[in-house]
Amino acid sequence: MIVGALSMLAAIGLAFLRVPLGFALLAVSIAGIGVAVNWTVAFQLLPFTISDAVLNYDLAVVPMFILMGNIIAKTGIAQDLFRAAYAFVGHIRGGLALSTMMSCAGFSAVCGSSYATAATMAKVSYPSMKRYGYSQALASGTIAAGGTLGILIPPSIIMVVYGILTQTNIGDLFVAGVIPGLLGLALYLVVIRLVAARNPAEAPQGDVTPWPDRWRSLAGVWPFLLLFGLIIGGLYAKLFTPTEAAGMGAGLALLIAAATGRMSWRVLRQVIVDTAYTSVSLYTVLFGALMLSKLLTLSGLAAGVLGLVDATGLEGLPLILVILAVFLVLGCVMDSMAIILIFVPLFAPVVVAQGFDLVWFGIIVIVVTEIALITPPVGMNVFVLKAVLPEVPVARIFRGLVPFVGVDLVRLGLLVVFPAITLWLGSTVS
Amino acid sequence: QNLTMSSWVPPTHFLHTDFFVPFAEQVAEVTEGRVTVTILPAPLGSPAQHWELARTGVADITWGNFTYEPERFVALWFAEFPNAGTDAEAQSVALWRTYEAHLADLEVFDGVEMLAAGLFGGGQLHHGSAQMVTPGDIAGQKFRMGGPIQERLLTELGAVPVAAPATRAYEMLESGVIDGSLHTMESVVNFRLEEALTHHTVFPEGLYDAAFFVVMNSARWDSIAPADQAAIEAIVGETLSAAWGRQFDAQNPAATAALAAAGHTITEASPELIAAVDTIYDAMVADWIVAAREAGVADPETVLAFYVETYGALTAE
Amino acid sequence: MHATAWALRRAVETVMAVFLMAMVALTFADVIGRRLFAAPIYGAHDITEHLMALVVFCGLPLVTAAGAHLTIDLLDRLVAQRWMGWWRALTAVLVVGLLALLAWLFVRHGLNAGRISEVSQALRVPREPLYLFMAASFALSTLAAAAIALTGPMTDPEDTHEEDPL
Ligand code: NA
Ligand code: NA
Repeated sequence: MIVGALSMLAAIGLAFLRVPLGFALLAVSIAGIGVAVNWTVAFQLLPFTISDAVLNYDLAVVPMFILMGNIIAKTGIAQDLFRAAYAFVGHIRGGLALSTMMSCAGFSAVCGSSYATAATMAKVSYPSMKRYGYSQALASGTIAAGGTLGILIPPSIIMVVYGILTQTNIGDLFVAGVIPGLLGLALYLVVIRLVAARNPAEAPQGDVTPWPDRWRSLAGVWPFLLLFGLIIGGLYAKLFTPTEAAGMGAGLALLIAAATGRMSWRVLRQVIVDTAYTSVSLYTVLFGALMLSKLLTLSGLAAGVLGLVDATGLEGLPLILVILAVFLVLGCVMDSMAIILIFVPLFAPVVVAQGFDLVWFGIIVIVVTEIALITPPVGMNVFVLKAVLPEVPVARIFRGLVPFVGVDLVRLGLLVVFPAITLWLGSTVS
Repeated sequence: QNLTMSSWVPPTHFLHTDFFVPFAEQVAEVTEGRVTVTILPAPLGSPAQHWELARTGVADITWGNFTYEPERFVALWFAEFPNAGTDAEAQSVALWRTYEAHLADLEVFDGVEMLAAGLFGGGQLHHGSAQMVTPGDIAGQKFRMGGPIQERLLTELGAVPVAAPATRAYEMLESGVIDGSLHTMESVVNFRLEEALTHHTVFPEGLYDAAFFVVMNSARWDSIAPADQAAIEAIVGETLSAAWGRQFDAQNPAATAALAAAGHTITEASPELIAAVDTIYDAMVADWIVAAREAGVADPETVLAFYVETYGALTAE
Repeated sequence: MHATAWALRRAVETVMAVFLMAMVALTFADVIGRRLFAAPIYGAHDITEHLMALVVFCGLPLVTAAGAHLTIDLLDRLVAQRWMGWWRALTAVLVVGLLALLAWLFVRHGLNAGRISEVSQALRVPREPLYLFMAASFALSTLAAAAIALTGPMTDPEDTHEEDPL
């Protein structure tokens, strides 16, 4: 158990000192199993774990969802979404930020990553907000916060990883993410309106789009409706499994891009190769995380944490609140994927032992990691944005995010207190 | 001395609560606490990897299905053929005795100490919307199955086999990937498939079966003191195999009753269907005799005859 | 030498892209076949799993050569300082050592798979060649990791890739 605990600390330490995350996790798990059990077991387990993970059908959703998001992002289809949102709400106060937020949510419905959502939307919408004189804080804060919806509104790569690590049905997680995601969008829109009302200079109005042009702009929305309807509709109605939904989504996105004349061979090759690179680096990290969870099993740390929780006498909701507090603190300094990979295997057994639903817990944890993406000092979405918008100071982005983090906490509280927000949609299926 | 055991069913499964946990307790009891078994909170590999996990010493004790590795344990394929029986205790004891008498020396079983062998009392045919009584009903229907024996059975009956683990059956039935699935009556209930599988076709001698092992790493076994080995030997082997079978003998009839009470259609296979299965069975046995001989079994006919006779004698008692 | 490395990288990228597209096409065809023609593709899952393994292990040496493994770069500035050179060297040794260990373990794993007749579940494709391919990929990645530790990552001058992972 002590070996297990030390190993986790070592893994985090190494990762922070720029050892690639997957290799940090692998090195620490091998050493930990070597010391806690013996080296033969460590070396035997390694190929078993890696070959089992790479030949896992459920994990094959990952590259296909990444591919779908990449196709939409790199062929300019995302641009159309923003234009449509702008046509309808651009002229009201805070309208550009509202349109940005709405297109972030729309893009999230076809993209499983928060980074990709933030990066794509920064390119699509920041120039307009800048042109109309939006404050840097509001403009960048809106994009960074809107980007976090990428992992909550399905599809979501983090949900896939959570599902694999906890053996929770990925389709159920996706369906459960829909309403919390829409709730997040609604609260963000309210925040933008409040900020714009309090400080009108930060959020000037855009131009009014005549109605005929508004209707015409809607033509840009159908790919998103089609893809989201196909994936979530298909999963909700149990028409296909998550992997099949991903394959259908990626295939359809390709057809849409080709049919609208936006796909050249060059772009196609680049999109696919990018997807493969991203998938490979994700798989490497997963190999490490799966080895780490075996270390937790073998070293007795998993059992130890269960015992510890028993000893404290914490039960039910207070226990969940303590776990969430731990995750929120971790979220300040850790990447959201790293939190899921390292800490979910440790806490999931505790949650199950307490009789909580792992789908509900998964959505809650994902909302926590959404917050982690936009809180200082390590807010990955902020860094992604900084890379796309070098002229905006990081501190200003964080300042713009304060009200968004505020409503995120409200949303988290609602989801914890009312599990039905998360579980209702899934319960209507059969 | 503490032995680790890797198991791949959830802790709520009856095999965990009613078989492995009592087994672990028994080991501690008969060795007066000198040898204990810890069942790990999570499996160390996929179900198909569990034999290797024990053989290579990653875990000390594991259990699993012989045909999760489709081409490895040729010698035991006969036990999964149709007509292996529906009395799981008699089946499991007969399989254990067959293994002991004829197969234990094969190289393929090297590196592990076999603690128990077992069957599950006959697999049956289940469908989501229609009754499968005659060969004509089955033709063209898509069934989830696992392993080469079930695949051949379905293919030759004119059905479409879809390979997937039982844990995926629910989502595959819901999404229309399959129309039906092969299970024991017990696993229809234990995998919570009652809503998706409403029509059940019962073969009195079993449509197919599944052969399981409980094994321990050889080196680990050798490291146990002789007195404790002797004490453990008294509770494994035929005794543990019989206990395995009794679990299924308790579960299967209870499941059948529960499904009947829920208004499901449960019918016996028609004589034509049984005859069709028997024809396939004969061909399977003929092919197996060739394959088993290649795999080093000196006299496959005798092995099969020994199993059939032992099972017959046990059920006649 | 440099030109050869680039030509090789482009070639492997193309192969990897073909595997990935095949995966999408297969899933698409399987769903359509099953829904519209009641004719699923036998072993579709099996093929998808193999394609995935091929994509990942074609890509591993490329990602390693490009220095594109997922890294937490919070303390980048600290690690990049001159006096931290020993740490960067240690990190490189760790990564190279791990990859070499994996290459060796997968050679053993592959040979063992041959001995125990390990095959895939549905189509019964032997696993030995796949595991040996994975071993080769780890071996190439070992070389790539060692090379970029000395020369710096192999980044594309006209690279438009953004690493927007996860
Ligand atoms: Na998403
Ligand atoms: Na943070």
